[in-house]
Amino acid sequence: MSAQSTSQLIAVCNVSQIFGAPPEEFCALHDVSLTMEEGAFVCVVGPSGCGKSTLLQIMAGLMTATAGEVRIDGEKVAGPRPDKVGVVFQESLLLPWKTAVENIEFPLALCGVPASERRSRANALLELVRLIDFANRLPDELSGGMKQRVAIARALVRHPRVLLMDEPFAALDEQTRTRMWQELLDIHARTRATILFITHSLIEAVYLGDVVQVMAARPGRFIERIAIDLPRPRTIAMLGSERLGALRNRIWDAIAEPEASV
Amino acid sequence: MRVTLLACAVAFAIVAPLALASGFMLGETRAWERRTAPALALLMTTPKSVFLPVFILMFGIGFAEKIIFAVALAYFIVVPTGLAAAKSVPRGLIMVAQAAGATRRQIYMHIYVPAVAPLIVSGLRLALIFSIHGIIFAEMYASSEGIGRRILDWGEAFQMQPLLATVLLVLIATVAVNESMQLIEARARARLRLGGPA
Amino acid sequence: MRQLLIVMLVLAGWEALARLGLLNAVIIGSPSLVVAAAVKDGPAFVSAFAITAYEMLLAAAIACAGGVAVGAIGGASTRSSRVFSPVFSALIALPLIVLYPVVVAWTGIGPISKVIYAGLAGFFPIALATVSGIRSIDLRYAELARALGATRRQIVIQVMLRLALPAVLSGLRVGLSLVIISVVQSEMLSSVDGLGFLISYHRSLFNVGQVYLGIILVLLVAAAGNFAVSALERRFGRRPSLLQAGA
Repeated sequence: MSAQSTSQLIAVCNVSQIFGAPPEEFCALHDVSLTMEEGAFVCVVGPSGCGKSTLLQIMAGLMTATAGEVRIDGEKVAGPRPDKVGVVFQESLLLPWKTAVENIEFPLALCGVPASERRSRANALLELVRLIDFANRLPDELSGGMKQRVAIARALVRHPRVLLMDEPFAALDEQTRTRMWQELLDIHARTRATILFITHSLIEAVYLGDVVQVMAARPGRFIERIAIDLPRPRTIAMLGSERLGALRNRIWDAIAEPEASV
Repeated sequence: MRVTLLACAVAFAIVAPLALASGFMLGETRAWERRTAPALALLMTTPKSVFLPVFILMFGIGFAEKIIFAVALAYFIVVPTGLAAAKSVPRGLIMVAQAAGATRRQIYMHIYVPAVAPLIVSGLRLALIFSIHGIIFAEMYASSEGIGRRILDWGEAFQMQPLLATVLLVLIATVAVNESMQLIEARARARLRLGGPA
Repeated sequence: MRQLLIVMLVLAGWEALARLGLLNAVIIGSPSLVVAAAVKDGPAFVSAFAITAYEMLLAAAIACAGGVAVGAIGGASTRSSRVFSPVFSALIALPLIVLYPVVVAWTGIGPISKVIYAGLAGFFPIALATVSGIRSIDLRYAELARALGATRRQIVIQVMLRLALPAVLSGLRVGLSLVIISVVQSEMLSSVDGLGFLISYHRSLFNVGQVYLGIILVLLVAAAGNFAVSALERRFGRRPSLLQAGA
């Protein structure tokens, strides 16, 4: 493994994850390694069941790897680190009895931040995701896209070093999803956040990321790393561009024949 | 004892179809449901037993009066189940069946019946339970015969043996009936998941 | 407003029916008879009301505390819920009224027997609802809370319990109904005081006004109880549903 460079924010080192005991053991991840630099937008794409979510759980400290380790800022991850890691899941999982602003405040309340400071920080994030007018709405008064924006705000409220997103837009319809892409790219540009984005949509991965890590299944492993050379800021027009199409095809080929591209 | 059983049977036979049918019809027609909803809710949450004395004032206490009381008691509890049964019919399936040319009879047989079966059985169970409760209470309160009366008398006379024995008997019998009906209900539900005609 | 109008209309119709002799006044009573009864026996009814209300409150408290506690234990793990749920749902179906004479034989005719009997009746639906409420918690919320840095204690209290609350509240509604019914029924059967007793007593004397007065007071208590649960549901749970029991 190369020496730690100062801009290397996250290092996933030879992580393996095995569920169950022999002879029925299931290898979800095999020797997965990844580094991310500050401000990078890395997309992980792969077929269903390839272990993407398991990888995210390990990186978030929600699961301990059977082998290997994850380091953030050089520090080993040994449990949930809400100060370093923000997570957004496919379901927004906003607490149904709390308003939008209260949901965003929740992580701060859990670690004892006083009320006035909580409120001002939460409001700042509501401004960031452009939902300040909906601060006092309950989740069931919000659309799917809005709920995810609140979830993103909640994940960012403690200014984590990295934002992990597990197929956050998969449950949204196409038009909402396209709008959310722009929102996320906007947030990324404004906050210089480091983002790991998991998806099974090839187009989404190419459109959003600087780098796409292609994953194969059974066992879960990285098989190709593709740098995305589309210029930023990304625009909707690029969705129809040849370059994007070519990159997408490259990913598709890699997924279709995992052994051929190793 | 026979008296009680007979009374329970009659009460059940009356209230079960009555309540389920009216509940079902309420459920099928949105307008009726909306209009009767608040009234029903009100009636359901009141302790109707308190009207028994008035009832007795009006009609005295005899076999028929016991039945009517039990029916009144059980009715409001079973109606919501009939309503829920009406709502559990998969409308989408009906449209598909109609498009495929199914006759009314076929739709009833193959879609309605299996769909409402679990809730109907549940409704029958509730009707039975509350019929029993109503009859026994009416007997305890103002009858000169029947299990309810006997139990109360034994209690007052501190004859613990017959009291406990009978109480235990009634409880076990009720549990047995309840559990078997729940089994039937579960089977009906399972059939629903596997699909196919009743 | 509209409801008030309906009530007034009903009362007026009632009075009219009685006066016009359309229905036997001895049986059907009338609002004026009720008022007369209140004037005559007011104090007795007030103290009976107090006793009945006290019994109901106590029984409700026991049923709630016991039901939630046992339900929480029963619902804590899949294994225990598989034992508790069927047991509770079997016991709910029982005509517990047959147990009342047994309770009276043990503890006498006073308020204690009512409280025990009604507390028991209310206990089972609350316990069952608590078990099912806890079992139905979406565990992803717990994982989310963990990712947000919540301690075990914070997860249980701030997230899990709150998620189970609507189900527990609907159990409370059923349990409360059963408590009310049970207290009324037991007072009507073997008692020396309380509203149920007074209603029965006056019935045997054919004091129609008093009978109806008693009934109205019981309905008032029932309404108050339901109102309280509805208020709780509005604050903490889903909208109050139509499908609840009352006998």
